Amino acid sequence: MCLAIPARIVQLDGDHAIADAMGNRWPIRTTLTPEVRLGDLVLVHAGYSISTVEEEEAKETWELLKQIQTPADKIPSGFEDLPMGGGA
Amino acid sequence: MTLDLQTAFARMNEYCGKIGRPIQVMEVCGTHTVSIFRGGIRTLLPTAFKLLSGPGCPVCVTDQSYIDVVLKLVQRPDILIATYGDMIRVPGSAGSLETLGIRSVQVVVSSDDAVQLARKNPKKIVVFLAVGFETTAPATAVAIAEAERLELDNFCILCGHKLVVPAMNALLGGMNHRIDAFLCPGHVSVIIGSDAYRPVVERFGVPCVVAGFEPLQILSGLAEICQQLADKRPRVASVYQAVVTPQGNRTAQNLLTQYFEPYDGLWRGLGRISMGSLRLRSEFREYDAMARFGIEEVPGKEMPGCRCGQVLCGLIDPPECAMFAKVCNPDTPIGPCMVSSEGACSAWYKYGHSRSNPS
Ligand code: SF4
Repeated sequence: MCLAIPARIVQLDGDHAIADAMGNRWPIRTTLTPEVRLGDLVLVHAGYSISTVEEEEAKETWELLKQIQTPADKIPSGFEDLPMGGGA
Repeated sequence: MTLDLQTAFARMNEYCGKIGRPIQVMEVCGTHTVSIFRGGIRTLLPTAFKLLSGPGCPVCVTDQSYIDVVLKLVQRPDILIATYGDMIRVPGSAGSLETLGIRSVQVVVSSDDAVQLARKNPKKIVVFLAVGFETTAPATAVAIAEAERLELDNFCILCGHKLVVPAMNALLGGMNHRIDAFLCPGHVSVIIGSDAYRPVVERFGVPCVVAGFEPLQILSGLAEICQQLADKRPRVASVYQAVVTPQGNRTAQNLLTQYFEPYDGLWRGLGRISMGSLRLRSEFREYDAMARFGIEEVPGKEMPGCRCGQVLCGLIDPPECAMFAKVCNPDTPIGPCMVSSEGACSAWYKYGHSRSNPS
C-alpha cells in the first residue's frame, strides 16, 4: 500500500495535475509538493505527489514495473493496482 | 548508494562472516516483502541471514474492531462507504464487505475521489475508510481540508491511520523479539524523513536503513545493515537518497499535525501501541465517523487459530501457522495477512513456501 510510482506532470492547474507514467495518464493532486512545475517528475502515491524524483530513478522504477506487468506473469502482486497510484 | 549485484552479495557474505552469528533483519514494509519475494532475494541470502516480515501492511494491522465498526455503519441506509480496494476483503467477526455482498461500498483510488463522491451524493453521508501509514495519511488530511473548503457536511472519515516508528519501538520493546536491524520503508520515509528513525537507533542500538523497492536497492540496504552489524556501529542510513531526505516532506508533516494527533490505538496482533495511531483533533470532530455516529471502539476477537499477530511481529514465518495453505489461501483467506496482496502470508503463499529461507 505504501508504494509510490514515478510519473511526469503533463498538465498543471493549481494543485490539480495530470500525471503520466509509461503512457498511462491519470489525474493527481500536487497539494503535498507545492514546489512542482509542469514537466517535473514526481512520486505519486494514492493520487497525490509526495516528492520529486530524478529522471534516472524514475526510469529504473518504470523498468521494474514493466517486468512485473509482463503478460506471462499473471501472478497478482503488491503492484497490481498500479499505475493508478498504488491506492491500496 | 546502490551497489551492483555481485558487490552486494560479496559484502553481505563478508560481513556476515565477521558477525559470526545468525542475524535477523525485519523488513517493516509490505511492499518490501513482496519485492523481496519477487526478486528471489530470499533464496540468495547468506545462510546466517534471515529476513522477517514486519507489520508494514496497513490492511494487515487494521484491527478487527475497525472492520466491525464498518459493518455496523453499512447497516445505515444513508451511508456510503468509500475505500481503497484491499479493505473490502478483510474479514471482521461476521465476514468482509465483499463476502457479505454489501452494496453501499465504492472503491476509490484516492481520498480526493471520496470527497467527490460526497459532492455527487448529497443525500448520502460518505464515510471514507482512512487507513494506511504516513504515506497515505497526508492525503486524508488534504481531503478534510477540501471538505472544509467546500463546506461539505456529508463527508467524514473512519480514521485507521497508523505510524511506523511507534510500531518499531513496540516490537523492540517486546520481551521476545528477535530483531537485529530494520530495513525501513522507502515511501513512508519520503514523508517522515530518515531522521525519524534516529530515536530507534539511539534507544535500542539497532541499525535502521532506508531502501527503495528495486531489488538492487533492497540488497544494497541489506549489505549496509550487515556492515553496521559487523562494525557494531548502528546508525540511520539511506540507500534511497534520490527521494528520501533526512527531514522528509514538511508540507505533508504539517498537514498531519494540523489535522491529527497520535494516540494509543489498536493494532491487529500487536495490541495497543503507545502513540501508534492517528485520530482527528477534536476541532475536526464533525469529520470523525466514530464521533458523528456515537460509536465506541470495542476490541475485536481474533480469528481462532489464525496466527497473524505472531506473523506481524516476526515471531513465526507464515508456514508455521497450521492453517497456512491448507485452509487459508488468497482465495479463501482466514486472516488479514492472507487477504492483502502485501501481507506476509499472501507473499509466502504466492512465491515463498517452496523456497523458504534456511533458518
Ligand atoms: S496463514 Fe492465514 S490463518 Fe495463518 S496466520 Fe496467515 S492469515 Fe492467519
